[in-house]
Amino acid sequence: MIKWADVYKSFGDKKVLQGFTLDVQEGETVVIIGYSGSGKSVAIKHVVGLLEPDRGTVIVDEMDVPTLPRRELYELRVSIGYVFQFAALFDSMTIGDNVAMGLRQRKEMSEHQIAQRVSEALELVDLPNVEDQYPAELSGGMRKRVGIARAVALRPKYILYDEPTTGLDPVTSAVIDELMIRMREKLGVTSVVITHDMRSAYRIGSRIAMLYDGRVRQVGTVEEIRRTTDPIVRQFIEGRATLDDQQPASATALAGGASVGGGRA
Amino acid sequence: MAIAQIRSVIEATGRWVRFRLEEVGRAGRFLGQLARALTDVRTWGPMATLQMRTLGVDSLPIGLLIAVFTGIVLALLASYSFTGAVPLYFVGTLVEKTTTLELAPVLTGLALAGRVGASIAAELGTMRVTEQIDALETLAYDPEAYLIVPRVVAGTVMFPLIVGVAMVVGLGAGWVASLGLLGLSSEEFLKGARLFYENFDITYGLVKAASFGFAVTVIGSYQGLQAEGGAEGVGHAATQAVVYSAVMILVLDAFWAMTWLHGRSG
Amino acid sequence: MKRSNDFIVGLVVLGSVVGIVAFALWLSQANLGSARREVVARFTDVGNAKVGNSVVIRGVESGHIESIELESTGWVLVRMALDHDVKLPGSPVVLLSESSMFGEWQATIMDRAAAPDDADVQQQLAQSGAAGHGALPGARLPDIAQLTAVAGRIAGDMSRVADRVQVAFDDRAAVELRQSIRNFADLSSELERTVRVQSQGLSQLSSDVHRTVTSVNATAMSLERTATRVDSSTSKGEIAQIMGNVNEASADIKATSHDLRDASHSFLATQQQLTSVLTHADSVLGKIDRGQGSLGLMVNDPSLYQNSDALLSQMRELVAEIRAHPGKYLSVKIF
Repeated sequence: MIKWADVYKSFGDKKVLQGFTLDVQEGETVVIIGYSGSGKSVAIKHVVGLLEPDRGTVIVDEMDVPTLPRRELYELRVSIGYVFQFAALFDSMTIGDNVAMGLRQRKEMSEHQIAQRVSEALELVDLPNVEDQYPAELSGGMRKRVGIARAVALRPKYILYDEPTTGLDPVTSAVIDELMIRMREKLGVTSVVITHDMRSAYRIGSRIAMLYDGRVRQVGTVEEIRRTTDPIVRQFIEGRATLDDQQPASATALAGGASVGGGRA
Repeated sequence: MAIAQIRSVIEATGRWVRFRLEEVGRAGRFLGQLARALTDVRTWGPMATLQMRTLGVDSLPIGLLIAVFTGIVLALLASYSFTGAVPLYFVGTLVEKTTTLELAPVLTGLALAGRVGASIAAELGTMRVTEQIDALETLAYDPEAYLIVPRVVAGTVMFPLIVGVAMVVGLGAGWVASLGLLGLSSEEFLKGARLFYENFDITYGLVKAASFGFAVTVIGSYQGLQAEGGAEGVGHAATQAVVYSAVMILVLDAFWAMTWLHGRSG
Repeated sequence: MKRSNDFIVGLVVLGSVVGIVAFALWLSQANLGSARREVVARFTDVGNAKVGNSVVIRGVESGHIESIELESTGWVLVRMALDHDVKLPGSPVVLLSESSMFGEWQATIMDRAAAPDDADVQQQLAQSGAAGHGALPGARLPDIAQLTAVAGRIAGDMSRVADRVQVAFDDRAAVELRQSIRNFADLSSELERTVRVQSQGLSQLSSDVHRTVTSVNATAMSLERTATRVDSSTSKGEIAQIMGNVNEASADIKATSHDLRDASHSFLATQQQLTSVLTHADSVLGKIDRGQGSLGLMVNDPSLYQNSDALLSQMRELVAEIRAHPGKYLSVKIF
């Protein structure tokens, strides 16, 4: 279980998270939607301890992430796969080495086993036989899939996806969506997915949470979100330029207090 | 009105001081993390060789090139300055002393500050802005131990080696130049070179070089990790790394001269 | 890839470490392979000697100083590493001295008997030797700076003496001296003649005598002045002897002039008295004039004066030369 409890985080004068509260149950896929720069990536970086909250805390499997000692934090990270927005592959290494990185760090498997696991993971993302190529030789979509393969190769309990389909063509997006669904169904992985792609969100999400103004505006099942009456959520999921047909988007700030949803916990 | 202005000035000063202190704090924490990561030999050990290759061995040619020209120029400078008033074999003394004590470490250090400092800052900066460093962390790697310590170790170990070779080559070049251009005999040149030679000369140069190597790699790494905001940020980090490294080399040079050289009875 | 990196890095590291160490050894002229023997010497003061300075035996470089330690007893122990096959002299002592004008020092091992006969050096050696066993007696020679300072002082004194002697014995002074002596001789013979022609009356004689005495007095004073100048410029040896003679002569002349003055005052002097006095003075002056005695020699033989002048200028040149090239004259081997 992943649980954000009243997390505050700001960078300099810029307040990003202001009381972000959300929890993710075992085996479900929670999709976090929200505007660019609303702090979705910041929120999931807290889960693996890449960022420390100014206030509040993040709990993963009963462990308080911000106060975890270094060693335990590293142990926790092994159980969490993180798929970065731009894949963040190590460009000085081959694809095979990239995928094997986490496995090597664990020091549980022989090189042979690692190679086997790497090719399995690459097959899972439909990229067989690219082990010896370098990231620069692959297209953006392929790199994103390698990023996913790197995360899943560790057989993690949780996978955090940071905009896995952004910037991809619809077909590749669909392939990746499929992949994420397969992960949950085949491996029982608990996932948090950040996206602004509503089609993808509806397809893969068990629940959807909208991050707005540093906190969760509304969280609910796909159906609940589809039927929401919250004007801001509506605007976002329908992709309209204005809150309703006349009012400009900026005016929504005035109506910010009228939150409809909220943290489930 | 006036009070508000004074207030804003005081606030600006306070903010400036706070930023500077934060910077010091960040740098201090960085060094602390570095020291902790140094104990994680299993992580950085295997990476060190690669860095020694790229930062050290591959820097040899530039170091040697500098040394050759420095040696030749020193020999000619010396003979020009002596103009008959000082025996010509002192060319050897001057080349030996200046090469080992100062020029081999500092000139090589400055050249490597550009080459090594910029490349580290650019590489780590790129890794930072493309989230590769975050990715490392999520794969349970310690970036300090995995990325920075190997570079710092490689720099601290390889700089003195390059500088040492530069000393040998520099003196050799000065020797050849004295033979070929000044008509000095080998015996005279060697007599001059050995006249005031002490093992301290080389030790001093090498220790200095090690400190330069440490400073250049630490500054490069620090600037690289601080990079933000894409290509421009990476470029900025690389520039900062080179500038700070060069300044640091000169500061360290003065520091060693004041603390170590100065105390010795010449 | 990784293996080749390891290999190349290893190769470069080993290569440069070996290269740098070899370079350092070669520059410091350390002898690898051949065993070295160690010699320790004790000094009160090691001057500017430093670790690494060479050790010389009979002019041949045979090792170097390995360490210099300050002992709690107040001595300085200098440890020297010598080539293995070097033989030390019978009763070796170690002298530290400057080996070049540029502040470099060396240690010279030599036989006790061959050590310079300088009181200070001998005292240092004796003290060091008496301080205990296990270390050779050592002494530190004054460095070139001190030697040149002393030489410079001596040279200054010499040139002052030379100047004075030159002032005292320039050509004019010599001519004057000879002239006045000749005048005095002429005068005395005239006096004699005048006295002999006594019949012309006492008053006549009296004024003549008076005049003559005044003239004699002046001459004597001139002689005395010359003598004083000579006196101030000399202190010993030949010149002292010259002085003695000149003093003697001037005393004689003074006595004569007193006698003459007495005679002129009393008008009671007899011809014999005057004659004998004048004869005496004449004989002294004649002796001087004939070139007997040092002063006479000097006065009558310009070559002697020229020789002494030439000698002085040579000394001056030598001092200048020593100042310019101290190593040539003041090397350890001389002392």
